[in-house]
Amino acid sequence: MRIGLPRALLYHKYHMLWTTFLEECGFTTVVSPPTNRGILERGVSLAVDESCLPMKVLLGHIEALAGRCDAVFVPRQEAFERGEHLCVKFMGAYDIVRNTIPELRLITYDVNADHGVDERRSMIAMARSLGVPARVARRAYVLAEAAQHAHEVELARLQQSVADSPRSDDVRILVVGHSYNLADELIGAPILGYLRTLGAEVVTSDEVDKALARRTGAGMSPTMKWRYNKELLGSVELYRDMVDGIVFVVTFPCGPDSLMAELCARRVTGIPMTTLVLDELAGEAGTRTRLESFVDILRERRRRGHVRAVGA
Amino acid sequence: MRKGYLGVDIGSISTKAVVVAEDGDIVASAYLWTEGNPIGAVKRVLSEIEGQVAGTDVRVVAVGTTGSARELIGSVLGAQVVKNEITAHAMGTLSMHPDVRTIFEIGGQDSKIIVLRDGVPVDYAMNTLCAAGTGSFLSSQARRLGIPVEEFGDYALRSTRPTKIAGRCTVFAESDLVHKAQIGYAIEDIVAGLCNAIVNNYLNNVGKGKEIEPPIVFQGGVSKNVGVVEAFKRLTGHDVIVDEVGHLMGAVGIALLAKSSGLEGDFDFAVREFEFQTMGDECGGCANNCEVVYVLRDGEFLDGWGARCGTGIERARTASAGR
Repeated sequence: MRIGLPRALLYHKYHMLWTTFLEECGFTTVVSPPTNRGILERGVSLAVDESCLPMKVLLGHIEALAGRCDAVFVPRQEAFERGEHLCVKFMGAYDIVRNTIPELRLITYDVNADHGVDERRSMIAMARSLGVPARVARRAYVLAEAAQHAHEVELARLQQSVADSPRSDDVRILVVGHSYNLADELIGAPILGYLRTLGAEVVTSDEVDKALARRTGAGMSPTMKWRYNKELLGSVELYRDMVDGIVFVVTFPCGPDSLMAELCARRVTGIPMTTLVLDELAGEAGTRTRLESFVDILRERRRRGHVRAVGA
Repeated sequence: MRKGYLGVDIGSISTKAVVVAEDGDIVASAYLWTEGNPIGAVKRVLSEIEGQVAGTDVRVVAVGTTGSARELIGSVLGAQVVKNEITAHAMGTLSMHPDVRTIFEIGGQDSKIIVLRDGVPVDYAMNTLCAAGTGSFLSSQARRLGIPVEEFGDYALRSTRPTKIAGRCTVFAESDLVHKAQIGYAIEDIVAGLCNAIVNNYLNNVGKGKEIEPPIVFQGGVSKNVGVVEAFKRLTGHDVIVDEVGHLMGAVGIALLAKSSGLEGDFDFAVREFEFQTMGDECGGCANNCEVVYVLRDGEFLDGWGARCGTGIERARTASAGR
């Protein structure tokens, strides 16, 4: 059986866990191609108007998989810990896809700590329902979990070694955004690429020790509800003294992200920040103007010894 | 013979050009509407500049371009420096107000704030997706009220009790405006309320979280509106400087950046005589289908933009060669 994975939303975070698990269970995995204009345009026409950009991207990827696999994998994540929240799109993704393209066969698993449904049991149950023996499924989960963990540790280690390395002459920038935006070929990749073309060293919020970042983020705002935004918030605190400036990459109209950017604008002082709000119409020209002038400012500050201003 | 540096600022609404001599004199300046045709506007602006430079001992040795058409015009003029308008504005303003600490700018479609300390830009912000509270919003409301936009400020100054207008969103501001007019508010009070709304909107969005300290210089088309200037003074509690030549700051800044680049090249005003043609094409090489824009000089490929990879530009080059 060939299982299709849309290269969207949490794929960018959990691809190790998912592909390892499914392949260890004996399935073949098919991943949709990196986002391109065509995929986005299909997503935009499938989605309701009020959908956020990442949800439109997801629907485009789902359609790109239709006909290339036997079933498409769309998990439903509600809460990893009791009383914790994830953005509603992760709760709703499965049902939205099911109602948008009813003829497509979907497979899913739930994570909802409030109802005692954990990731491990849920993924194993999903595999069992597809005819995988319990022993194989349990072993697949152990391997998948280990692979995911090793992958995250490696990413965090690589980035930390950049952050800890002696400063070059040029500026270092923290780009804060969800991995489904930063790792997306059409949304985040051009921004990271352009910053590097300008000569900036880039560290990102999604390659960080996530548990540490969540604890740090919860300390900055006890009322920040969303799991992944806690991670982003924490990354700001963890990296702020190692970078010259911070760029927030927000997709329209994300509520949690705008709350987070606001919170940082008010609480994190002494370091220049800028926010890029992207939607499906965004031209690259405006983005480039903002990034180029931001890098100019950071360079000027560095040259004149404004590396760290008050409060940092 | 003195060296001169030509700075051209091509915005969506207006095109500005100056020539700054090596000793800092502005020996020529021109300002006109872009009218949706940046190349035509630059040709016209160059003919004005050439006339002013002709009688002086200045020779242009370097060119800088800024503004939203900076890349296109940079190629057309063979510019040594192509830079974003924020950096250019900061440099230009610093040359005339070396002690400036805050620059407000509200233009036709965007608004920005630049924070400077000790003569260095240290922070900036720009409006995001929404153009509420910019010049185009003001002029459409002026039209709705039947007032020439140039007189807008004077109306505001005559008001004794400005009404409250929701400035957060153009759509709500507009319905608020109609409502206030219908229940009988004087037009002066409505206009003054609108000016307050613009400034509140600016300070709460673009200016939020920024340390706004004097001296403050206010630029961009909306700075010509005395009603908005007064509202800025009242709401910030500081004096706000509006420069007579504020509209030229971007052009002056990019001329100075061209000078400090140390790069020089031959510049000939005869560039006006060439025929430039811009072409747009969808690449079609992959699903991204990039919109490639390129410019031809007397029928020959000069430069192209907009492609995510090299394919689109190569296709444009080949297409123009076969023309």
